[in-house]
Amino acid sequence: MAPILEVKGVDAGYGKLQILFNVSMEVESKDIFVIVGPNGSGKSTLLKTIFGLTRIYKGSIRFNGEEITGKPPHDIAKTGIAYLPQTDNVFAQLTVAENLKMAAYTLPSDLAEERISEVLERFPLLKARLKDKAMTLSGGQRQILAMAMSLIRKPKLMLFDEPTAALAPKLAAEILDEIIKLRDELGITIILVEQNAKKALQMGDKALLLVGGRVMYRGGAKELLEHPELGALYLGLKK
Amino acid sequence: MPIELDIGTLAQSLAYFIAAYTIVTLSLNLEAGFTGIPNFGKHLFVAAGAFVVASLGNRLSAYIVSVLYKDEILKLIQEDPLLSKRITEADIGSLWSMYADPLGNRDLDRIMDKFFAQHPELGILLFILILILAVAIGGLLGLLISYPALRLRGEYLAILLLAAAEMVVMAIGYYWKPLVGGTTGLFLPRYLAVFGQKVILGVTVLLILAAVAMYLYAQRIANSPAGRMMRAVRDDELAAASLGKDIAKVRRDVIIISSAMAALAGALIAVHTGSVVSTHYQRFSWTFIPWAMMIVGGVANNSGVVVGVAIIMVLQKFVDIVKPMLAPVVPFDPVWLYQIGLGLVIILMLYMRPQGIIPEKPSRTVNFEEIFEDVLEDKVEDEQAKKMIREGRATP
Amino acid sequence: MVLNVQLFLDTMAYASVLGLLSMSLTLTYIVSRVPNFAHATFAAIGSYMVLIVVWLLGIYKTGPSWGVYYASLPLSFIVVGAVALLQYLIVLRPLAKKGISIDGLMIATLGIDIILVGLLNISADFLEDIFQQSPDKDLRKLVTYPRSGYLSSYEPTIMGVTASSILGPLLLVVSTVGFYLFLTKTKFGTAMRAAIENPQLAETLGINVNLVYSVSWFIAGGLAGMAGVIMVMTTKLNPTMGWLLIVSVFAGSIVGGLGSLFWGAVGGLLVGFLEQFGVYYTQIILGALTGETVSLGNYRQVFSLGAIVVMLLVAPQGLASLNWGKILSRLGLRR
Repeated sequence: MAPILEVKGVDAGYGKLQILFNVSMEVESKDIFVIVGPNGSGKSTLLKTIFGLTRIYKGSIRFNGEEITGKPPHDIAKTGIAYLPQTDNVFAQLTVAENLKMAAYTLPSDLAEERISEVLERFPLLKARLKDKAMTLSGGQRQILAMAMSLIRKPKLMLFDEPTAALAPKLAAEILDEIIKLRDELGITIILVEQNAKKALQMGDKALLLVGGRVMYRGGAKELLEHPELGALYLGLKK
Repeated sequence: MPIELDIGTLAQSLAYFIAAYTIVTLSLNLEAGFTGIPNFGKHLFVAAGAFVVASLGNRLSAYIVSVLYKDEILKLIQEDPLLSKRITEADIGSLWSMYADPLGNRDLDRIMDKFFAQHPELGILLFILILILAVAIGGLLGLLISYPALRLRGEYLAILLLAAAEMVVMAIGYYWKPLVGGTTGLFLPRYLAVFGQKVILGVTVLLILAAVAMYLYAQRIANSPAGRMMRAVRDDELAAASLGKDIAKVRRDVIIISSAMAALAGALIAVHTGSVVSTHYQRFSWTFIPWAMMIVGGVANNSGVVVGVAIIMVLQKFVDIVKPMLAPVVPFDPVWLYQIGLGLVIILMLYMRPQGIIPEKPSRTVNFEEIFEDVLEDKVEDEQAKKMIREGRATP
Repeated sequence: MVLNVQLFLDTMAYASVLGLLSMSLTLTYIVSRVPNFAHATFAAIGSYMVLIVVWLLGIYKTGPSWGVYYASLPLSFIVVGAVALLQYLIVLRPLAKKGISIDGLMIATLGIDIILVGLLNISADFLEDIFQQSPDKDLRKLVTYPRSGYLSSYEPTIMGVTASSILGPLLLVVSTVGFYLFLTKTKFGTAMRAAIENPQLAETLGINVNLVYSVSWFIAGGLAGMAGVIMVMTTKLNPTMGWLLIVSVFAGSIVGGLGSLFWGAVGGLLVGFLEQFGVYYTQIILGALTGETVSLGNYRQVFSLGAIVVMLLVAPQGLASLNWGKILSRLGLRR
């Protein structure tokens, strides 16, 4: 089966500053694909590059066989990719209901209502907070809301940028469980950038290790976890 | 249609305007260009110099002269058939208070003009005294403004300065007659009788000398350690402070010096014109045009400022010359076209060449911003975190 | 006399004009993050629409008429709204996209103000010419109006009260409530709040951020234009009438904190009352002290300047930032 996402020899960065060097990866449909690496290695930049938020100097990105290199973010969103930034991923001043309504902005109103009630079924905690402003939600609840907002558009591929940053361990585990459920129950392909490399590699199918903007490892997630040197060297994993 | 041009008069008037605007725009450039203080109320400080000359200077010189030379003044009054009817010996002590109304202003000017014609040296002395007074009060005004200026962010400071200027010029200047006679204005005595009939030429030369001196002064500041500190404060206040620079002092000093410079220009303009009318010190003439000159010429570049001043003043003179030709063709006053044109020039300039015709020279100081950005890109990966650090909401 | 009914009515008109202007200025500031120095001249354009309506509808012949309002309120909304929209689309948006600093954007709005005042002056020259050369002797009487007209003589009264004293507050209340409903109850209004808070996120959700901002500028300009219609009933028509008024408008916005439309309206209202009653009571006090009649109406902006200084130094985030619950309970007004 052809991969759902194909990144080939990409050089990318911000302005004149190149961050990624000749990065290639292939993501199979319905996989959880984990990107790990030390701080400042370009993990978030890679996610942004897929979503069209950086400058691509060289290489190509194909999604579902369609060329998306250099397309603006709102066009990429239409192809079925959702991107969840680490922060500012919800409208803090708007209520939970309004946030969901905005996520369904481009859908016809009856379809929008249907999708909103679908995601509320999935995340009942949001149902109880519909009238509250998003700024009153806890960090974990905000991630859930952001997830719900992306689900409204029924994406095929979701890009998560450190969804558990600044969350308590228990909450972090819950968020990661929700992400696994997205794949298991809805068949959504996941690309996950995660600080907690061990947790991420345990739940992942495939993994990519980025160091200094270059690919150090590409292959099975479990294999990376058990790799004799790489884990200890770059990810702070004990042997 | 042939137009008659008096080249001598034209050149002289051009020189006067260029000199006056050079001083004002250099002072604006010290604040806005070098230090990043957006002074949108520049006309307040130019007006301050002129208002001091017309209100305080007029009264002070009348008082000094009438006390020291009581008999001579009395004689001058009695010799004049018109004045002797209106002014008696008893009024001598309170001659200075006659400036409050337009008629008294004119009477007093007649006396003073005659007096200075006989005592040109005293005229020069008083002229210098009044000039010093104007500069000092301009500096004090700067000190006063520096208190809010140290506490406020860019746009709030701009609003405050513009509001203060409009209030002083358009409300108090227009309507409070004792200050400068309201919208009718006040005349000044001919302090510089020493120049005889060539008084306008004389004052123009003084203005040119002052402009040259101010240019050299501004250049010295710009190339001194203080100048580098000003740019450091403008580019990154936090970094400048962390290197132990006293930002408050730098900003306060700049505001005081610039205000005094603008007041000097205002005072010399008043003496050149021989009168002060509050309507001549509006936002358009003394805030907008200096900003336009600075942006056209080159922000944070003194030579650029001079180029900008010259370009815009030559443009204005050109409009003055073609105005009589345009007037019969267009059904409105062509001067409005000049204003609209200047508005367009500034917007186009910002769009096409925001650094001005002569851009700022790369400074010999450390460029905090660049280093800051480099380090940020190096060490921090996440855009969001970068944004937060840039806005000072988080530390690396 | 402690309270003066006529003063109160005049103040209602003036203060609601400031309320409308401070609110709409706040809207443009929230959207574009630049204080628009041309905003009070927007109102002046609205004022000129009244003169044009008085002329074209023949109201100068018939005398006071509701037509003044029927025609000039919508006309000024559309014309000034379009001017504001053009300012955003042609000047501010391209400059902001090029990364011009806030100083540059501010001087650009000052440039727009100069251009607009120049256009008003040209229009005034045109109107003077037309009126002067008219065979209609009633119209010839209007010749001084383009530069110093009191148009209040053409506005109707309701039971002896000038219409502007009632229409002004009405307009302010309707537009504040209307704005509130629009922003909270409609999809587009919600999108507007979303796009203002986080344009990047809004863009990825398919919200047309540029359209949202354009609509905001149009509405802000339209409200300023309508404020100009009321304003001209309380003052003299002149191309530069906005230059001093901008002080009061900024004062209102700063008192409101430049962050909330509702508080912008409240700030404008408060500043209007502060100016009018400040002048009134200062006159009484100075009159009693000096024994002469003191007239200080021309210095009303002193109070606005004072409000700006005090607000910026004491509560730079404006009234919106104060903890009202705490204040009310301190004052014993709420338990």
